[in-house]
Amino acid sequence: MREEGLRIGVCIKQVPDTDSHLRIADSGRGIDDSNLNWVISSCDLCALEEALLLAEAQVSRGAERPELVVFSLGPERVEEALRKALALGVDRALHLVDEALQGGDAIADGRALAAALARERCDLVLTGAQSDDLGQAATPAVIAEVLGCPYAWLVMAVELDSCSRSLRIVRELEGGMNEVLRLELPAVLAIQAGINRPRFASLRGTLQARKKPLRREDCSGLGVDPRLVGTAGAGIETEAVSLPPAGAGGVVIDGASAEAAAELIAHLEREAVL
Amino acid sequence: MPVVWLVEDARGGPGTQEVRACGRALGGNCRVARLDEERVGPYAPGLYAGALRDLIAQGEGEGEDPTAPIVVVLPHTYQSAEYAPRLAVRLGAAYIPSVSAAAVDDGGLRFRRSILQARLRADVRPKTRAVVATVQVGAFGGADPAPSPADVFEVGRPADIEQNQEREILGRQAASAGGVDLASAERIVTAGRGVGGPDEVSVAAELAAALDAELGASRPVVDNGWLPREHQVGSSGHIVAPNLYVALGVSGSIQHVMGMSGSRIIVAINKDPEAPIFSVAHYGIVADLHDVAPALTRLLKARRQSA
Ligand SMILES: Cc1cc2nc3c(=O)[nH]c(=O)nc-3n(C[C@H](O)[C@H](O)[C@H](O)COP(=O)(O)OP(=O)(O)OC[C@H]3O[C@@H](n4cnc5c(N)ncnc54)[C@H](O)[C@@H]3O)c2cc1C
Repeated sequence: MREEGLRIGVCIKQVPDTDSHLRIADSGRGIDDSNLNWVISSCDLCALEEALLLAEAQVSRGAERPELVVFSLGPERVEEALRKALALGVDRALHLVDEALQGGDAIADGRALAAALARERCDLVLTGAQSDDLGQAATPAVIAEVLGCPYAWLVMAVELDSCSRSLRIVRELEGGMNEVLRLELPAVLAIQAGINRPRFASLRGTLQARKKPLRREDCSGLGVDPRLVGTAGAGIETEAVSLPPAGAGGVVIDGASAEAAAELIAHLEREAVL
Repeated sequence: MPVVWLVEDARGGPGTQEVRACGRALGGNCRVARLDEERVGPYAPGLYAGALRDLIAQGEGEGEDPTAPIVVVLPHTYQSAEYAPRLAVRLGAAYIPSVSAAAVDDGGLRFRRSILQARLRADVRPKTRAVVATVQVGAFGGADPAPSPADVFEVGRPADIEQNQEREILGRQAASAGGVDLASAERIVTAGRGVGGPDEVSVAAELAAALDAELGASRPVVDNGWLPREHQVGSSGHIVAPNLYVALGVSGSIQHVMGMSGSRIIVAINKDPEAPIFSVAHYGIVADLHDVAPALTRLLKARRQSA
């Protein structure tokens, strides 16, 4: 066990803004990424916020402030997401950037991230519950599996007890129920949207972020076999993407709002629901 | 033909039918891995992943064609979607979550899933021999629920039970205070993130009042604190089936649709003609809800006064 305070790692993913206009790429295998606005996936912002809140809670309890490290895997553009995390108050950043890391699936990416998290000896790892783009909800579970530690998905509350090195968490279940669990560190928690309201970066934070350490790591630096990560390590291949079938026989009402409203009411009267 | 393992909870539960239907879509050479908490132990992700891995790896040795693909199918529930990726890693398998269709064709196995918040769908193929897939609850609709006469295998306690120490369950609690009766409401008007902000929720509330409807909310509306949790419709909120469901500025994500697709008449008002909500709506208006909803409210009020 280390002498120094706890270290919390947060893994974030940069995704296309869900409000962007999405166009299928000419290859038909993905979306055209030439004109997208890239943002931090929404649950990952909640994971960042939760790490900041945990650090603040430790300090206000008189315990040592944990060190917060943010990790992201992806091409050059991802650096902007890492700088944003630094601006929010994270201490330092690690960018997993390598040609061989590109094109991975959740298992390949989870392996690479787990290698980086293990190197940094993180006691607690936070991620979002699922990304806004692929929504696989798998990367944090893979990280926990590779690190061989406890894991919980859809976490709605976290209390950290640094003395007993344990967590009390609330996990969401189906149908409006929650369960309360106790986990020991090291652990991986996948944070669900709604756990907190992510803060905005202050101007001061943004200025400070420029001076905070941001390190780049490639496969050899991480000590990962390039055959197990990126495209080579991915277990799946996307053959085609398509739009869902439009209107399954529904009636589309056109026209100016007053006419459309009147027409809808006429339909609803006919359906006897008014 | 692939060897398909259908993972079933001994107590039944959501997704059982969908898992069976997926097995049939994959050729029907199915075995059932039956998980009984009494036998395996209280649920924990590493424990269940280990227990299933042991059973499936053991099945490997039994004179099966060593090249036949292996597919493990689980329901995409809050429990199995939590541990399924860990099972995939242990089996050296590919992981394909929340699928809505599956097939075997000349190219091998093919699965379909929604991406980008249900705005697009992707057809994916595994590159590995083994694949772990979870099935979207509510997908594979209309499938014959009768189980195929498959071999049933009881999942045992894993050899390595160290993982059992990974979590302690302290209790269960309701996620919200309650007090909103969405489940028995005849009509519901739901505010989605598209209403724009906490002050704009009133357009939905006013329309709800004019319709004598309860007020519903999509998850982001609740997460942002625009309405309390008890208004939430969807997989992690209320499952509703009113006579009339009006969705204002709701995109139609899988989790939302799971909570309201049983409604008799669904009306969607959304400015994006490609919003997936239109594929479940009976009536759709492609427009700014801030124009249409107040117009509806006015007409409904006038209609009531003249009645
Ligand atoms: C495990 C899990 C459980 C979940 N459970 C639930 C759940 O129970 N319920 C739930 O709802 N979600 C749930 N979600 C979240 C879900 O994935 C979606 O993120 C959510 O449903 C999206 O809500 P929305 O449609 O309101 O917002 P968005 O997807 O952001 O859609 C907003 C829509 O409003 C439209 N719009 C914007 N402005 C206007 C305007 N002026 N006029 C008209 N239209 C406009 C846009 O075109 C868009 O389609 C869950 C997610 C996870 C991972």
